[in-house]
Amino acid sequence: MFKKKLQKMLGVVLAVTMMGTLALTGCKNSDGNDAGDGGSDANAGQDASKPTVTLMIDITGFAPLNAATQMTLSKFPEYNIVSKQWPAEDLTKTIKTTFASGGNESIDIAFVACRQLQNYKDADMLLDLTSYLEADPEWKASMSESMWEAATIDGKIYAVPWQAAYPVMICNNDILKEAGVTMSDDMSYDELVAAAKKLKEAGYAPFGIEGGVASWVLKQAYLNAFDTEEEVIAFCNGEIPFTDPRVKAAFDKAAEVFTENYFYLDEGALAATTDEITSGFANEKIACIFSTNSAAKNIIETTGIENYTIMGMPTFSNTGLHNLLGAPDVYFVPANVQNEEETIEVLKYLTSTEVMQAMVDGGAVVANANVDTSDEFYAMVSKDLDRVHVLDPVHLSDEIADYLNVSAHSEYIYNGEAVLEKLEGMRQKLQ
Amino acid sequence: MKQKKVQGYQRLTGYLFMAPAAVMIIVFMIVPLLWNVALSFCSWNGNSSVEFVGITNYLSVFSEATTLVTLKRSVILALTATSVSMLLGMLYAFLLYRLRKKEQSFFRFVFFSPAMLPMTVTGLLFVFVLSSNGLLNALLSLLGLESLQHAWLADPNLALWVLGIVQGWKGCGVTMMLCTTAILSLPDSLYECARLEGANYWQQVRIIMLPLIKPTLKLQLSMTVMSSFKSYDIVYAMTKGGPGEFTYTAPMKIIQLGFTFNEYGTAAALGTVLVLLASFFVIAARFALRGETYEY
Repeated sequence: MFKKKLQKMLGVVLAVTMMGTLALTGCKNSDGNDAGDGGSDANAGQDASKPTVTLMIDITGFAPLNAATQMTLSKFPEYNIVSKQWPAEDLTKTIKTTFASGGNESIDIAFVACRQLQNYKDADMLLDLTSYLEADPEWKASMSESMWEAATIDGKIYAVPWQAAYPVMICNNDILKEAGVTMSDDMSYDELVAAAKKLKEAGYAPFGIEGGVASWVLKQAYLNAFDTEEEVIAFCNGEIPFTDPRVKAAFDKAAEVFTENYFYLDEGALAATTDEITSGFANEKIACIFSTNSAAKNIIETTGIENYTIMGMPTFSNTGLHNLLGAPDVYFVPANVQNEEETIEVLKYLTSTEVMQAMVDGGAVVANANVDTSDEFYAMVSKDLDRVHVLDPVHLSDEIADYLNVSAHSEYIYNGEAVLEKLEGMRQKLQ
Repeated sequence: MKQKKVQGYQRLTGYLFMAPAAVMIIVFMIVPLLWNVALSFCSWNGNSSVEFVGITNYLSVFSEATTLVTLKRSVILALTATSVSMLLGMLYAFLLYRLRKKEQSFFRFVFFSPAMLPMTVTGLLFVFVLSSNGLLNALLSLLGLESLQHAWLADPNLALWVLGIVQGWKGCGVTMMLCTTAILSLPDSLYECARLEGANYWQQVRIIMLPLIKPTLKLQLSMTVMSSFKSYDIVYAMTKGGPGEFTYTAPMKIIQLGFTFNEYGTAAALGTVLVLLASFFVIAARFALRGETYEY
């Protein structure tokens, strides 16, 4: 009897819960906001009479962008500023699907690496910003000409640079001292390997890099594989084949440092996660790790390593060139933006000296030339800006970019020269 | 006349009950599928006007070695995952049948629980288990089996198989549940007869259970093959297609062609080919399990 009653009660509770859930779901309006105004997310409590500008630039835990987002949210009470997280994993997919959906779901300002701009331009997805910049010479003058070049396609400016990103090497000086090793950013490949051997003998992993960006090693190697800068430019412009012996030598060097297990987790190095690298560095198992210049401050704070040196990523070559891979990250506005004038106003603020200075204080190396850069740490993470080689073979096509960015390096370790032939096939398709 | 009217009402009621599900299936399944097939004969960059190009996209799919190899990897992954899911699920079900009721329900819950986890969560959990300094290698080291330690997800010869095993392990709970239900519905008299004839438990499994639960196995096999071919999330969560491109499967290639290369037509063509390939394996699996249906 009691059992039956209990079953009945449970049934009623379940039914009420289901109905309640359905009712609450129905209370959501088309913008995805709760009908009530007690919500705590960035979209809650919007005023339908105000124009909406949607940002997709914020990254949890990345102080410079957190600051920029917060400042923008409080700067424009006359607009509904909606902030969405920047989806590192599914960036292209998110941008393209929100663009296709249009209307309220669309993103108004997002950021990408400047090399990806061409892909969005090919799909006619970028708003031409040239006229806005010509109408505001002060805005244009806040960035150097080389920064604007990175955001220009066929003579038109499609984006506004905000960050000059390049990879740095952060070394634990205590480990280097114990192993009797000195590191510098103008080391040749042979010197680097000699230092790595010493560190390994002392029981440390010489280097650490997150598996997803292990291709940085390869890029450094090929950007410095030639005897002259003219040859590097010719290679980046697709005039030198990937099967060239100098390119092969670069691929060999980039593979060797992994096959010789100079990277943390040895044969598992290519699958190493950010957490594994960070904890390996914090626990003093790794002598030097690679990260972006803007993330360096966060890494130092997270790992608690006090005796450190930050330098540009080594060249992994013996040629004497000192190119450094890297490129500006740029804000862009999609071609189907809903509130164009308001979005441009927000974009101007995001790239203003006021916001950029806050980003500098958070550890970012920014594109704005008017910020105060007297900070000692900023000097460390920005000192190699003039070594940055924006031109890279990834400009040649989306196919080559995707392959070089994601798989070519690790595949070369296992498949050898077939990778160069595959890349050469892609290059020849463009001729 | 009256009977006809009643039948008419009954039919109408049937249609009314079916309508919500039918609308959902038409809008979210049939229409996108037809749109995908139509798109596979067109060129579209996601924003331009759609242009008919005939079978060019299919020629591109079949002429690109890099695309074909992703189909091969999808087949390997699907077959591994299906085999693990079916064999492990059946084994669990046969073992559980030997337990007492309370123990049976406890272990049923334990073995079924992975099926309740989202694929990405399972993937991320196994990244921790299978990483170079992860749980599995630590366990092997504890047992003195250092020689068996591997970088499970970074070894190109292992990674795809490991993914298949993880996916199969995740799915085996459903197979176990369906098989257990089917076994429990079999009349006890059949086992009693077998025992009287001197059959041991594994003979009962082979002679009574397996033939009689075949319709359930057939259904589960079809569903597992279909879901295994679609797997994108577990690959993305665990290896992102790496090391190199050794675990880069067809669904990942479809995303790459569409969203990275702006070649939505070619992506649609590869999607259609994948659907046909999965259908072929479903039919083949059903054909392999054909035979007499027993009534009891």
